[in-house]
Amino acid sequence: MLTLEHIEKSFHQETVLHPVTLTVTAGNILSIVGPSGCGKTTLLRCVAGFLKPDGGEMYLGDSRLDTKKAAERPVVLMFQDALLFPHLTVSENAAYGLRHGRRRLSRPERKQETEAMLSRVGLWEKRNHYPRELSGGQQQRVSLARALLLQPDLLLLDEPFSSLDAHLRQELRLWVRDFLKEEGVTALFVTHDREEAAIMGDRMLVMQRGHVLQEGTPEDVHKRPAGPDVAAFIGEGIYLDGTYYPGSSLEAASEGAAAVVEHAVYAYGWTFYRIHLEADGQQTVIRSEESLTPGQKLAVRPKEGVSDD
Amino acid sequence: MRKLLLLLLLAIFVFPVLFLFLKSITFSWRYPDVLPTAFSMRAWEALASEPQLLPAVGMTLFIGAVVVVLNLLLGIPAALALSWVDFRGKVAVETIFFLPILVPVLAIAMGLHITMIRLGIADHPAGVILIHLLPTLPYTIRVLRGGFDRLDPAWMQLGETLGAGVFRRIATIAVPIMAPSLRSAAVLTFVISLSQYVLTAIIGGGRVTTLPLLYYPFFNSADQAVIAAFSVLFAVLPLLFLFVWETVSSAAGRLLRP
Amino acid sequence: MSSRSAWLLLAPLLLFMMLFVGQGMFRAVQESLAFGGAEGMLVHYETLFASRSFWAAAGVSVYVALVSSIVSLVIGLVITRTFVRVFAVDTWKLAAWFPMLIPHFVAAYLVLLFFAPAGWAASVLGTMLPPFVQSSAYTGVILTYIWKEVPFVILMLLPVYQELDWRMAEVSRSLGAGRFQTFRHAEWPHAGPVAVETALIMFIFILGAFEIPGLLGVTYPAMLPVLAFDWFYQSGWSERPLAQAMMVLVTAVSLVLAALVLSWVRRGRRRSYA
Repeated sequence: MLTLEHIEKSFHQETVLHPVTLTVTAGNILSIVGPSGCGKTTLLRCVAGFLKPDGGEMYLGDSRLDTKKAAERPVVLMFQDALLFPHLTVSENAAYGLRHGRRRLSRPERKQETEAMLSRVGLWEKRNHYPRELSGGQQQRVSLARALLLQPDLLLLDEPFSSLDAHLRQELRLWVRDFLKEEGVTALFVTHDREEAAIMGDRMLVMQRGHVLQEGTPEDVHKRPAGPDVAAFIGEGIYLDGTYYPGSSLEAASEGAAAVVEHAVYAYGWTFYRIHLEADGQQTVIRSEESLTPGQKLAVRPKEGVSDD
Repeated sequence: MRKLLLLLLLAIFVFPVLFLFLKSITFSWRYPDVLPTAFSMRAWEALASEPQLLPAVGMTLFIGAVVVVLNLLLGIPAALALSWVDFRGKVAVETIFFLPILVPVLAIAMGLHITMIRLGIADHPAGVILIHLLPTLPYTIRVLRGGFDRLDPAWMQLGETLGAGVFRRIATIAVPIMAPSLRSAAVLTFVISLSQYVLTAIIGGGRVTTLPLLYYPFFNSADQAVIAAFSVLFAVLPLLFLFVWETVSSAAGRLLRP
Repeated sequence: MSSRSAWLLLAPLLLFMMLFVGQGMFRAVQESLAFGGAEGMLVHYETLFASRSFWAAAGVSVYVALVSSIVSLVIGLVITRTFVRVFAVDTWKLAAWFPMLIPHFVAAYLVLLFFAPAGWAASVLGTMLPPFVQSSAYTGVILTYIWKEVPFVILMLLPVYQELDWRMAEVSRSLGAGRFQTFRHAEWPHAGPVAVETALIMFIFILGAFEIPGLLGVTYPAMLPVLAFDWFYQSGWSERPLAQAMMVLVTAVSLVLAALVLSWVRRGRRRSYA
């Protein structure tokens, strides 16, 4: 279990992290999501040991984490790029930590574990290839194999899919999530993409300007945002007179809050419309029986007799 | 058309050296013969029987090797700082490092002659090694800096997060990725050191006999084939250096492969 | 990494350069000046300016350096931009760089071997050539420098051309610009600074290099470094101050030239990034 207590960090008098407290229970994945510059990557680098927090304490299980050097922490960070070593083959890349890193094994053990791990990530056939011969998705899988061979107590992932194209990203993140769950890995996953955060995390944590806004299951965060900031970031519903309404409980009507249609979204056989309120710019997506055109003005109001669940 | 031009270029750049080799193994090939008429190893035998040759080869290799090592020792940290760190006064530092190619090194060598005598390193390989650093360091800095520009610091951090200590990270990540730049810098340095006549003559005072100091008197001798053989020797030494460098570095690389 | 650790990393080389180069330049200036004599401090410079061989040497050195560096630059530039794609293959690139492995004096011998009056070119042509290689026109010296420096120019320019965005050139051509206009606006802003810097390095190097004119030069007019080397050792070091004064002048000219050219290049670079 990972516990962060009051971790804070400033650069040149600018506070990047206001005291952050969080826990990740063993075997679970916590997604940290927020716009760029919210402090999520800084937090991750503090846990990895590349940055020294100005205050606070970190524990992994019972042992203090923040007093150890990065190389000595039982933690592995995966970067945005796969960063495979270009001069080593796939299996040599995967085995790097078993030869030079924290978990040194004898040559036969190394070979056995590496090959087993490479078969599990489906790249055994490519073991003697060099990284440049691999696709971006394959490279990230090797990178994951290299990290997991160290059997880290905690895996940190810093937007590892951001350099992949949309289709591959979708495919790989499902695969990685299932793989991490299968292996029972405890992980912190950082992304700016709320959809990705919801897919990857058992729980998710929303950050903005160095503050934690909300922590909960993806369903909680989507259906019961902790405030207008979270709602605005999630973009699924709006506050009307202090009450939160997800898009599914709103309808276009002749009376209600004035709104403007931005564009249509076609998904799963339905047509949705992204709208924003004229008063304060809050955005959401609603479904409408009649077809709407971008720029069209309308009014929205809560449907009657619809509850949250 | 392009192909033809390319072949012409190769003919101009590479063919002359092959011609040199041919010349060294012919017997009395001179005007007006377009092609050689007889072959002989006489020129090479004559060169080999020159008593000063072997010691001069040894001295040249020794000086060249030490100059390469000193270039890397001084150049790697400096190039790293220039590439990875932004600090005030960078342009001034760069200019100082490039000074030896912005002024004639001959002037500096002449100025240093008396100082070297006072320090007791004139007429001694040590003085020659020091003076050879001047025309080589600017190129080493330039090449290595380019190498560090391409070495993403994230790779080193990755090694750290995988639990490798700082020396292992340098040996297993930085050095292999930088290998092409290190090799270019080393070969360039070796060739420049090998090509110095006047600096060696002034600071070595004629007592430090490197190959170029033997070459100049040979140049005006009548025996063209012997000069050709001597010239081929100069082309072979960098290749020998490259071979040794590659052998040693690939052996070291194998040792550290996961 | 902090700037303090950067200075620590730079310190050894910086110290070496400042002590060594500084001491060399300082001593050269000191030995070129006359102290405590009846004549003025600058007497050696006055002697130098009155010397016919000095002016002849200066003239021929500037001529050789200018012609060699400009011709090398033009040839190297043409080769680089024509064969950028070919040079992506290592074999071809190494072939073009091959002369860089050959010492200058061996290159001088090659030129002699081919173009001496009874050299191989004469055999192929079937007639003896005029003795232009070792002549007061310094043709042999210039040829040698070109053979050696063209690969250097390619080495310097190739990275620029390999990273050049050729879409700029295509846009320019599609807008109806001529070949020269395209070169001027799409290539030169990137290649120009490097090209000018390369020419500067070559010019200064040739101005102060002994190796090639030491073999292929003539006694009169000799090039500056050859004359300096002669004077440095002549008649029991008595001409040393003259040699020092001459090289101090060459150094001063090189520094002024470098300052002018490099500041121009840097200003141009800032403008093209702005």
